[in-house]
Amino acid sequence: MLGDIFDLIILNPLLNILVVLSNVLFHNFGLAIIVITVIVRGALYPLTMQSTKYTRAMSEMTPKIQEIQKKYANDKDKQAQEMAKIQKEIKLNPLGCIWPLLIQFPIVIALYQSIIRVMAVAPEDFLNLSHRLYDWPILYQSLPVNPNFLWFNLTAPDFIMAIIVGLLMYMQTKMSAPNKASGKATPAAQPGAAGMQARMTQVMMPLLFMMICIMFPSGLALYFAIGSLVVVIGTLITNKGSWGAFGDDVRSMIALVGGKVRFARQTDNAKQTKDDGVKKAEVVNTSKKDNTNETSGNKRSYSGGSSKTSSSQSKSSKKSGRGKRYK
Amino acid sequence: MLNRKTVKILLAAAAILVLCLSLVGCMRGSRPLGWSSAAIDGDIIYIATTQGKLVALDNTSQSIKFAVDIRDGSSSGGSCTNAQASVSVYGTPVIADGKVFIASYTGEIFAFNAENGASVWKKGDSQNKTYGKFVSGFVTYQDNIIIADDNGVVYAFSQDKGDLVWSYQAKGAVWATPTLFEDKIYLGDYNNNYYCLNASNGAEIWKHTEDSGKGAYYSQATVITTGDGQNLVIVGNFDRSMHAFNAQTGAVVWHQTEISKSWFWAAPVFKDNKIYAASLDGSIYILNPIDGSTIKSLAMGKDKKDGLVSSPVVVGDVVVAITQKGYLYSIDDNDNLKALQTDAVAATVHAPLATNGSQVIIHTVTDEKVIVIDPVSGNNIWSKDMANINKNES
Repeated sequence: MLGDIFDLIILNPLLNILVVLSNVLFHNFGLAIIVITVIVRGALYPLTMQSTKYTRAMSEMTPKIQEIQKKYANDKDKQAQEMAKIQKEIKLNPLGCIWPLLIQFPIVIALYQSIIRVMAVAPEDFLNLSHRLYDWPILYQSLPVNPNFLWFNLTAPDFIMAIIVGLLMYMQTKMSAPNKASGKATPAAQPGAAGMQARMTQVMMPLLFMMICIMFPSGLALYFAIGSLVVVIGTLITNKGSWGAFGDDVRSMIALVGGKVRFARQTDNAKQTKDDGVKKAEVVNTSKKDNTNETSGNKRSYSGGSSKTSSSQSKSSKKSGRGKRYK
Repeated sequence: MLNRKTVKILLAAAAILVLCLSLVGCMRGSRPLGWSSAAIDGDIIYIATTQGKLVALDNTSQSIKFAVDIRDGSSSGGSCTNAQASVSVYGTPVIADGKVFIASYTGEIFAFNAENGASVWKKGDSQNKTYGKFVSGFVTYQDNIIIADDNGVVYAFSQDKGDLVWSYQAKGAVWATPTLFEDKIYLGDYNNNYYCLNASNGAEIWKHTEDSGKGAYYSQATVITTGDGQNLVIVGNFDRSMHAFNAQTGAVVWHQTEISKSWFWAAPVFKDNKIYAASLDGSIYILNPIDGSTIKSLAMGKDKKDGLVSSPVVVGDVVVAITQKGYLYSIDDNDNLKALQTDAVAATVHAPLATNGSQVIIHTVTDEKVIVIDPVSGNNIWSKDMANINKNES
């Protein structure tokens, strides 16, 4: 019964619109997935944002909450009072954030279901699709949809798409957390089990989606990727260009790469200096035999060369370490 | 040594992986089961089951002649949907040269000894994807078997060794079983093209593309001879239209649009100078072969999901049809519809009906059975449970 209502009100309309879009967009089902995902996820974005804001605010309050829990471990009433104060402080009602999630959930599920059903991987799926179509002539001219899009077949798994989904999901997750520069503590930055759990969640969710995409038709991966992209762009706009904790990650990565380059260059320099030392010793020994004045000249020359390299390396390291600035 | 944090991460990753793998079976959509119809050779009925077996049934003794795995080591079992056969068969097997030929959705073609089920040869490798998926069935022509795959390639293989004799590349995926008529084969693709090929060498004789580029073909065509001696290729498509092409030239003789409310999936049948076109909207449309006009429509489906997937058959004086939910009907000379059985014969019927001239053979998909029916009385003559064969008799 509930399933029938879900089909009638949400799934079938979305499915039929998806087929029409595929026809209108040059018989390109990939484009249809992109457009419908942008429309639906875009329309749901205010709801998504409400939940994200609450999650972010709660993340920022986590240290305070933990402090209260520790401080009033034996006084539950006081603990509740202090927690209520925090709720007031962040000016968001937790129930008000659950509703948007509840409303979004069936729509997002229906969107996913409609994509899977229109792609009709098995012949049985294709047969069942006929029961869901409205009596619009355009629908009957559009099926079956063209499964080819860009470099991949939408009905088969694609490894590159899975990686793209993983990266975008990671970006989305990290962007919802504040960056270090904001000075706000995040659960992931907490020491101990809580921090560990938060850090794991940030990595595991993208990994989970990546694994799903490796095994599922890539049309679904396209849907996940576009859905994430919509949220990423939305977050970027809402946060006035701030990349959140993702910006910290990029900076760390650049610093790490820069550090490695610096280390590699320093190692080379050390080796060079060592070689120079050996050569110098040889030269000194040879010069002692020939002309002592030339030895000091050579010494200066080597020393100068080494100093120049070191100076250049230092500049280069500074340049690499600086990287691109993210807010 | 692994520290506790690393161990926790590894355990969590393993748990997610297990969860992910178990979810795959539930979220991917339907698993391909197949809907092979019966191939009949005298008293023997050959069926490819949804469990990946070739079963030969003796219609006289009402017993199993043999049951073999189509592919050695084929396994069944799924996590949370219907059990999946490793070899799903959609096309009807054919019998020729003492062999039974089967094409699978995994892109393989198998030849078995029709007497004992011993494997004779196999072509195609599902791992290397030598061929596309086969949804189409075969036609036999001279010493060859002809079939098309979902890559749109039409192949002719020799019956004795399975050597490729010729191939033809269509513009789109082909799911439709070709129709053979006077040394020519007729078939349509998913890109709205209809083809006539020379059956001996695969050369294209004519091709028709819908002007507006709409309406994919799944249905197998029926070639009819009209009163004035004209041979027409009658075929329905997803655009809910019926087409009649001149079999020799490919000229469109008539084109009736939006006859039904859903796709034409089943092959039409021809009897007493009338075309019986079964639609997924649950009705049979009786058409005039001269201009395709609808003479009468007969509603059979109990609801929107009870369409006519199986192709009807002509047995003696009646046309027998079955709905997806298993309600069996006959249509007499005066186009009167008669329910042959009060109750549905099975949960789901997708396979085309088969006949030996006096009986109708039904292969059900769910609660898998082969049922032999008397088309006059509608009584079950005998039936065999395929699930039991799968478990006990092979």
